[in-house]
Amino acid sequence: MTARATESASQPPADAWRVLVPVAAVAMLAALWASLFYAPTERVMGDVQRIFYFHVPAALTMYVAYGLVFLASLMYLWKRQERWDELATAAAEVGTVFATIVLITGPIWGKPVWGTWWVWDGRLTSTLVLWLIFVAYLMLRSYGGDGQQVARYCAVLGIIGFVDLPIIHYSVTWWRTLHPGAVIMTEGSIGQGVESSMLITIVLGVVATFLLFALMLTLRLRLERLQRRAIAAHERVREQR
Amino acid sequence: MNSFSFLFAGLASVWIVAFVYLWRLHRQSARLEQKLAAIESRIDRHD
Repeated sequence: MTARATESASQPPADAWRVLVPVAAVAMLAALWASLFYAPTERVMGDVQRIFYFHVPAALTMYVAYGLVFLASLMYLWKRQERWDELATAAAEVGTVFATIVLITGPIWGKPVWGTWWVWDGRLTSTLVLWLIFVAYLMLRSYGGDGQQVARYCAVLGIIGFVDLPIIHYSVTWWRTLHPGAVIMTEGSIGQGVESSMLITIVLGVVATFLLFALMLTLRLRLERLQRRAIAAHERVREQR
Repeated sequence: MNSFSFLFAGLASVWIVAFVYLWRLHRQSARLEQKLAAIESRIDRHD
């Protein structure tokens, strides 16, 4: 661990976050403005439907984050390079933040529309299972120590967790669910039958959420590298005694 | 609760979760940087 941690610590922490803070903030404010004032009120659901412009982008970002965990975990198991483990750790935590946003905004939107906060249908249950898998992943990271064995276990868990993503995505097709199916990206077309102002707002929401994800990932990666540098420094102090 | 209250709660939750997480990352990094600087100067003195 010491040699690997030192090797990783020699990489300077990324400073891209300084640029990303204002960019992501402006994009998020623009998305908020568009969702409240630019997009028209949906005829059936009313104003509460505006949650859609953050709920769906958060779900897409969750897919991207956990996809990144999958790739980084595979790369770590193959190459055994610490940077892949760092990336998987950071992406798993940030992905769980977006999964939490999805699981909070969904029921808040569902209550006035469906008349209930929660139903155990395919989409909701598989999303909750994914969240629980990655909470377990983060607990293993926190309490399992910092050895290479834990990194390997986490890589395997990250790959297993990824298997749930296609189940979540196709759950509305495979099973009869209360959760609606795809609206924007249907088979063979993108945005067909959706009003242009709604489409622009959702695209803005996706861009803003991706920028927020990039900011969170950069900051989390920086923290991860600092933590590993601190572990390496502690070990050096112990060796000097 | 009317439609607006649910909308407000939904949008507020996104911003609160994002802000709290970013604040936590920033605070942890700042603390760790300070701690690391202290340890590294101790190592340099010893060397």
